[in-house]
Amino acid sequence: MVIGLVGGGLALFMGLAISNIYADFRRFNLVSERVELGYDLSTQMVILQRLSEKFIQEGDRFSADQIDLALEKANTVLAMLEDDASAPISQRAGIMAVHLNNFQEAFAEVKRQRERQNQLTNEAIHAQAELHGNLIDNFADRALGAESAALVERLRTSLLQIEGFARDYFDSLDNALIRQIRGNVRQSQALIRQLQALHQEDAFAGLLPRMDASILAYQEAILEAVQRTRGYLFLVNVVMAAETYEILYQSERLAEELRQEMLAIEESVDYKKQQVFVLALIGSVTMLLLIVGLSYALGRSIATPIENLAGVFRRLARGETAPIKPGHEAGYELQELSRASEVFREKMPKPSNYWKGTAKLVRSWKKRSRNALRHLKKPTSSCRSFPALMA
Amino acid sequence: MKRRDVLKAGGAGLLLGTAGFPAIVKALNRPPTLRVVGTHVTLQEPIRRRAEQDLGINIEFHPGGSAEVLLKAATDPGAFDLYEQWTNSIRVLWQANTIRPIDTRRLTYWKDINNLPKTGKISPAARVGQGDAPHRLLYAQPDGTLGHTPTDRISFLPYAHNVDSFGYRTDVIEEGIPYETESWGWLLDKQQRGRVAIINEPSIGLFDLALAAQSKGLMQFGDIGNMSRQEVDQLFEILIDYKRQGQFRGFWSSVPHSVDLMARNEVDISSMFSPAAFRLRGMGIPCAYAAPKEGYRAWYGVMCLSSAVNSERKELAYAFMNWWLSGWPGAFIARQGYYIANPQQARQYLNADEWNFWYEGKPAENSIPGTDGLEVAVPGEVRRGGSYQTRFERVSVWNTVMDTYEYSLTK
Repeated sequence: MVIGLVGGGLALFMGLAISNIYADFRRFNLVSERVELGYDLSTQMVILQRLSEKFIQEGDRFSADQIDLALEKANTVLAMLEDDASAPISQRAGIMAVHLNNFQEAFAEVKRQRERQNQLTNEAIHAQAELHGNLIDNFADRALGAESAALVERLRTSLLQIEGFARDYFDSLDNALIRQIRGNVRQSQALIRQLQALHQEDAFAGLLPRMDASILAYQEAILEAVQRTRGYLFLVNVVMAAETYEILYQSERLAEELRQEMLAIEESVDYKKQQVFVLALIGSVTMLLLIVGLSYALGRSIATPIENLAGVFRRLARGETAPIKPGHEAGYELQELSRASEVFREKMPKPSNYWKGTAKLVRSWKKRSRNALRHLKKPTSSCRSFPALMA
Repeated sequence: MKRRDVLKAGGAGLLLGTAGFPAIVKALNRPPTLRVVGTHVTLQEPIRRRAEQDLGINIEFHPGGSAEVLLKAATDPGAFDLYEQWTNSIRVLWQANTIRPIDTRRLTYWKDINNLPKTGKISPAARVGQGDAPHRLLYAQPDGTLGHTPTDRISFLPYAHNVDSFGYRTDVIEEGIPYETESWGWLLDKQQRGRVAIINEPSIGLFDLALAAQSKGLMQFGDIGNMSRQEVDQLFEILIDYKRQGQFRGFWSSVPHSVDLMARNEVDISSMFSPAAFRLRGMGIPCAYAAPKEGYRAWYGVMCLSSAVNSERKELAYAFMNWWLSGWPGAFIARQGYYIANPQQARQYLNADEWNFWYEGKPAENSIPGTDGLEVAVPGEVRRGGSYQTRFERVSVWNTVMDTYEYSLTK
C-alpha cells in the first residue's frame, strides 16, 4: 500500500510536471508565433513605406491599391498580435495600432494630395496657361501700335518664363523658383495694367481684365500644386516615415520582450526538466529502498513466526510444557497455527507422567543391566545365573 | 381683432418662420463664430473660454500638428479665419496666397510691441539669429514681397515666442553649466546612443541636428538658416550614419509625445519645448532645459488672417488679436515659459515674484505655479538661461522654411 501511495504520488507529480512542460511548450509556440507576427508587421511596414514612396513618385493607382492591401494585411497581423495577448504585449500592440492608424490616415491624405497635384499639373496648370496664352493671342490679333505689341511680346515671354519655372520647380523642387513665378506674375499684371492704360477706349479692352484674372488663376493653380507637392512630400517622408520608424521600433522592442519571454519559458522548462529528473531519481531510489525494505520486512514477518513456531514445536518435542504465546506480529494463519499447537499440547497425554514412567523404566533397566554385567564378570557362577539375572 | 389674436397670429408666424428658415433664426440667436486653426501650444481651452467670456463671441479652436495645420492653411484658406503658428509658416502661406496683410492701425497694442519682432534684436547688443527672424518676414512690401522695411501692413501679428533647446535628465547626464558646457553637440554624443529624441518637423528639428553637427565639428555651414543643397546632403550623410548606429530613439510630433518619451524612460535627452520640461519637472522627473553655449533655436508665434475671411469675421479676428495682447493671455502663457510681444501689458497680471522669475530670471521667492496651478519652480530656483533679454540675446537660428525645404523633405 505504501509503495502504491508513493508510486501514485510520483506518477501524479510526473503527470503534473509533464502537463506543465506541455503548457510551457504551448506558450512557447504562441510567443514564437507572436514574434513571427511582429516580424510580419515590420516587413509590412517596410513594404508600405517603399510603396508610398513609389506612389508619390509615379502617382499610379496600382501602387495605391497595393498599399491598401498591405495596410489591410498589417491591420490583420496587428489584430492577431493583440488577440489574447498578455498585458505588456497588448500595451505595445496598442501603441503600434495608434501609429498604424496615423500612418493610414496620413496615407489617405497623401492620396488626396497626390491626386489633386496630379490633376493640377496635368490638367489645370496647362489649361490655365493655354487660356492665358489664347487671351494674349486674341489681344495681339487686334491692330496694335508698336508699344502695345512690345508689351504683348513681354507678356508672352513672361508666360513662357512662368511655364519654365513651374516645370523646373516640379523637376527640381527648388523653392526659390516659386519666388520667380510670383515675380513674373506681378510683372505680367503690371504689363496688363500698362496695356489697360493704352487701350482704355478700345472695344477689345475688355480682354485685359480677363487676362489679369487668368494670370492670377494660373498662379493659383501653380501655387496649389506646389502646396500639394509639399504636403505629400511632408506626409510621406516625415509623418509616415516617423510612424513607420515608431512601429518598427515598437516591433523590435516587442520581439525583444517576446524573446525574453521565450528565454524565460526555456529556463522554466529546463528547470522543470531538471526537477522532474531529480524527483524521478529520488522517487526511484525511494521506491527501490521501500521495495527492498518492505520485502525484507515481509519476509521477516513470515519467517519469524514460523521460526518461533518451529522453536515451540522443538520445545514441545523436547517435552517442555510452557504455554505457547503467539507474537503480536504473527499473521492470522500463524496465530491459528500457534493456537493449534497449544491445543495439541493440551490434548496430548500428560507428558510429565509419561516421561516420569519412562525415566523409571530407564533407571530400572540401567540397574538390571549393571547387575547383569557384574555377574558376567564372574566366570562360572555368573554364566549360569546370567539369564536369571537378566529376567 | 383682439390683442390675444394678434399675439396668436404673431406666434404662429414666428413658428412658421422658425420652421421655414431655421438657419436664419439660429444665426440671429447665436453670437458670431471665429474659427482659429493652430497648434496645441497656443490653442488651449482656458484661453478659448476666457476669450469667449471677454469678447462675447463664439470661438472654435482647431488644434493639430504643426505640419498638418500648415498644410490645411496652405491649401484651404476657407477653412480658417485666423491661423496661429510660428514664423516658419509665413513663407509658405504668403506664397500660397492663403493669408492677407493685417493693418497695424487696427492693432490697439501695436506700439507696445517690443523691438524683437520689428528689428530682430531684443537689445542693441543682441545678435540677430539666422533664418526666418520675424522682422525679415513681418512687413508686406509694396511689391507684394515680405521684408523688414516698416509699412502699415504686416503678414502676421507677433505674439507668443520663446527660445528652444533640448531637455535632459540630470540623473543620467551630468548637469552642465548654462552657456558654458551645455551644448547642442550632446544630441550626437555616443554615450546617449539610442536615448535621443528629435522633433519631427524639418523646419525645426533639422536645425537642432545642424547645430549639433556643427558643435561637434562634423561640418560647418555658410548660413545655417539657409543651407545649400550640398550642405543638406552632407548633413544628411552624417545624420543617416548616426541613425544607422542607432543614435535616435525616435521623433516626436507634439509636446505630450515628447513628455511621454522621457517619462516612459525611453530617452534621456531630447529636442524640447519649454512646457514639456516644466511638465516633466512637475512629474518629478529631473529634466533640465539646456542653455546651449552655441545659442538657441528661437521661434516667434504668428497670428495670420485668412485671405478668404469675410468682413464680419475679419472684425472678430481683429478683436481676438487685440485681446491676445491685452495682458491676461500674455500672463497665462508666461506661466508655461513663453513670452509675449508686449510684456509690460502682461506684467499687470503677474505678481512680482512671477514676473521676476519668468522675465527677469531672478530666483523665485515663493513656489511658482504653472498654468494648471501645479508648482513648476521651488523657492530659490532660477530659470535656466536667465532673463528674457539674456536668452533672446543668444539666438543662433530661427525656425525656418529654407529654399531647400522640399529638397530636405526628400532626404
